[in-house]
Amino acid sequence: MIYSISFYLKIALQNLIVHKARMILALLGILFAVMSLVAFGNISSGMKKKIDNEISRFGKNLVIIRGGLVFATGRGARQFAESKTLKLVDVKKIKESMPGVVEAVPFFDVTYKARYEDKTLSVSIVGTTEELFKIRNLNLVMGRFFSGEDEAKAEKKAVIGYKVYENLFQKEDPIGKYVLIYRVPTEIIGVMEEKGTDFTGQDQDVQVYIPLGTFMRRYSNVDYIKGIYIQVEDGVSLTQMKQRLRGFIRRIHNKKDEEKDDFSIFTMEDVLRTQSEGIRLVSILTIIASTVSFLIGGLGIFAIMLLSISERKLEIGIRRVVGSKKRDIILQFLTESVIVALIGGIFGVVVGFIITVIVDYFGEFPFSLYLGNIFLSIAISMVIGILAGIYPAMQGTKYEPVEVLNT
Amino acid sequence: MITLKNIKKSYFIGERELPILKGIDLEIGNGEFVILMGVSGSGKTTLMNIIGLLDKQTEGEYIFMGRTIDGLEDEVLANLRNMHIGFVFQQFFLLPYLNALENVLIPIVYSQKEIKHPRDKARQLLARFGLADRVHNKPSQLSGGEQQRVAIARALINEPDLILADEPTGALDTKTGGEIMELFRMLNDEGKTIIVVTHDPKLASYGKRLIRIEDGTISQDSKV
Repeated sequence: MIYSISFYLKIALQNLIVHKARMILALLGILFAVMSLVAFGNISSGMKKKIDNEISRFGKNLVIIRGGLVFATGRGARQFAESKTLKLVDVKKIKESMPGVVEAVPFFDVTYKARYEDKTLSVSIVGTTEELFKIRNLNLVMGRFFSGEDEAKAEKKAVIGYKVYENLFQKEDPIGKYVLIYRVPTEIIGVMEEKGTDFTGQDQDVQVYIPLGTFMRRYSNVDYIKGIYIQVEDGVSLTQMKQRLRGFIRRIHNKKDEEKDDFSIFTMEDVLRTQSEGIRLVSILTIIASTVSFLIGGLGIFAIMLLSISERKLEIGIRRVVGSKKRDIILQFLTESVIVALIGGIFGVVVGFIITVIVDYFGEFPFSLYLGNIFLSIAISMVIGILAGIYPAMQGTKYEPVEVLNT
Repeated sequence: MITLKNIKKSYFIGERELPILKGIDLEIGNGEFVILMGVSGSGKTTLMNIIGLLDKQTEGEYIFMGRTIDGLEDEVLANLRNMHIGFVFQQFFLLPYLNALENVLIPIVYSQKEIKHPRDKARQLLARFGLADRVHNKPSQLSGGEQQRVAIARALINEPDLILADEPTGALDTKTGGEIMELFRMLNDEGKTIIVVTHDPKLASYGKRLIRIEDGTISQDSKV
């Protein structure tokens, strides 16, 4: 048995070599099908990785509540209407009575100018509490975060983003220096590491973080907050949490059924949905394209096998004479069609891999191999090889040795 | 080894019956060297196909190695051919993309017998026929006589009891044809039963028994 299979393989390969051009045409369909499946699988898995990276860079399991009307779509969350109804007491209530909530961190953000000596820079001032640094994965390159104590004492202290440090201080040690914010001298106690723009379109490096209590009493004298970051327990569905939060806030804001929300709730997944939907759309197109290619490839192999078998009548005859049974003939030609399909599949994987590398390079996606699609497409190639070869192989058994050899 | 009783074979063209063999009675024993001679259309090739289990008689009884052949499955016939009969043809019928050694080994793929070290054995056979340095040549790189010797090696690899040769010298010049017939005689001396089918009267002297077929019947059966 092993000897026969290795013999069939040898004959299959020899036939491939003899009929190179024809065989290449036959396996192109499979090659393209596998190529698109593999390339797409790898690239989309790279894109998902990139999205996951952005999400984890922003902070894990986060739900964001903002006062007013915010559309979280495409790149960024855009504010359409303001509202002053979100209060610190809401944060307290959420933290106390919502199961599944690990942390609720209020913030107030506003764009304003910061000045140091003769340099000014437009910055995003964020009044918040110390918990924010933890849930948003923020790290320092120097100094320290502010603490609960700073918050309680309404200390005028700030942690600044990396660009603020670069632009205002130009490599000068900023710790202990005073920057004017709202004409209030504010002591710099820390500098954040460089983070770039997050997916909401906010440049993380031009932020200036100030204790929320200090901000509300000493800088802008407001009694409301702009939003709340909610960190949810692992394993709790963010979508469900959004619904529960919405009902809860409507209740504590005493909203009647016909009234609209005076706040918006979204997650990073909402903001990145357009990208995820794009991936899904392309994946459907890829499946259609590769199905068509597999069909064409199967038909190609089918046609070439029929041709090959009618050309090799004599061979079939002589095999039958020396004792080959009909099933040996079928097995042999099936081996050949599967080999052709497999070679198409293997080259498809290689070309798909090359395309992945190129697209990842130019698209700046992290490289990722999606093994599932590779195994799947090799398996489909084999099945196509068998399906395309079975009818021609059966035809091959119809040549009786007496008829073939005596003509 | 071979017993034919009143073997008849007809082909049907539409309603019309075209008789090829009209009642052949024949007995061939172990170790014989038979020349089966007849002109084209005499029915000699049809008779050889029946003896070689490649075709079935319309009427009559065929006993091959003690076994009645009638009504056997294709698969059983294939096994019997593989185990007991080596075939040699006028056109050699070697597979063009396999080298000499691989061609000789083809029957091994389907063999039910335990042939030990088939590759060594194939090499020995080729060497014995003067093809030691041709082992890796493709048929297109071999002369007609060399190709026929490869074909004979292929017929012998499975250690058959009977060699059936259909016009084995038909595609060769007289000298090479003579060499091939000498080779058969040598194999016969070693105990193989050999049947050579031919239309060429010059080959008659190589065999030990001459059977002449004329118009579907045996017209002569004599010792040489």
